[in-house]
Amino acid sequence: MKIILNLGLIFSISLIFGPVINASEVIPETDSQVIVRAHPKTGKPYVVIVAKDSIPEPFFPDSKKFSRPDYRLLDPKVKSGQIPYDGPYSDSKRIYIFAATVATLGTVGGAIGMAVIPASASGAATGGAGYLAAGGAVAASTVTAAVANTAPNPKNDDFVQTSESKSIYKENQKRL
Amino acid sequence: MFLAGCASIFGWDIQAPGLLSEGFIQSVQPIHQRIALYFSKDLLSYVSKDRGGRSADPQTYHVGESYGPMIIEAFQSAFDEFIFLETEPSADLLKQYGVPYLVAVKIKNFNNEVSWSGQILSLATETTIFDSNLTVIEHFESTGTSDVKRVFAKKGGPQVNLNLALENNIMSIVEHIQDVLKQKSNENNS
Repeated sequence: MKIILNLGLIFSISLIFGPVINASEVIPETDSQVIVRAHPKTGKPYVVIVAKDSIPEPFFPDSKKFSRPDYRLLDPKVKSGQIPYDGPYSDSKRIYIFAATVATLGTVGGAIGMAVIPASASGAATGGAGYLAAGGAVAASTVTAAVANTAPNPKNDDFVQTSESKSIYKENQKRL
Repeated sequence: MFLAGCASIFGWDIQAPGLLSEGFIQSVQPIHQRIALYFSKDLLSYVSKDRGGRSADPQTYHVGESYGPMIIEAFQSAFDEFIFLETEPSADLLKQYGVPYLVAVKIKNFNNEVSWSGQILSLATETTIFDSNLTVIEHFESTGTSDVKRVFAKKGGPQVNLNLALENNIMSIVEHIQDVLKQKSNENNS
């Protein structure tokens, strides 16, 4: 389907864009062509101009499709899991388990541990709980240190700004 | 100490969903305008390892891979005739396809501030609007920020926080461009 969208939907440029050009104006042809791509996340088609001389490669890498984000999830009063979320996430538990495994057993031992854990679900769960406690201690210490670094920053108080746009300059010059 | 050292090797790998929210789609009113968007493919690989504090856990933010699809979706919603350029723009190319305006966007900076209570993420971009002769008609900087408390305590919290910062940046860009083009249209009509 993607191949069809990427390669099959090449349109006649003059039919689409012709009316804008004056009849007396000579427009040089460029080495380009028009194709239609599907949006990598929504699938909604859009017009793309690509180089003419080659088969256009996908501009975006393949990615999973997710639901639109619901920003109510960020409300401090909303608990984890109250708002459905199916997007990507970093599993910090797994990371801390792995870190603790390496810390406890060393590089070689850690590699053995990682190989063994998936083969034994109950053993992994028991061991994981112990490692998680260690990981939790690490997290607590790092968070405390972060506070010490960031607490004096007055910008963290009453921060309500969400977006801003300001002109840098307006002038007639060619640059890209 | 050793545990802390190991934890700091790993950390948070944060990828936003890369989609605009329903709120964005509903709040942006499309204008009838043909417009082209260009950004370098390098933008998609923009990654920030700003952990937001010297002692905070390591965090890797995959900013570009989400920002690219999101800004394309925003332009689809904001302009009736949207064209994306995957080739280097030129005045001849714009004239050939009857494109009166070209927008070029690049990421300037990504900032992360982690505090005990939460996290502030902000994305700054530079945007240039050209006419069909590749003459600059507007050059502006936009910043989108998301300031959220207890973000790391929730599944998807850092990811959605990143998404919101990107979306706020894109909202700012789109509104700025629409304002400029409406002003241009009024000048041409008067």
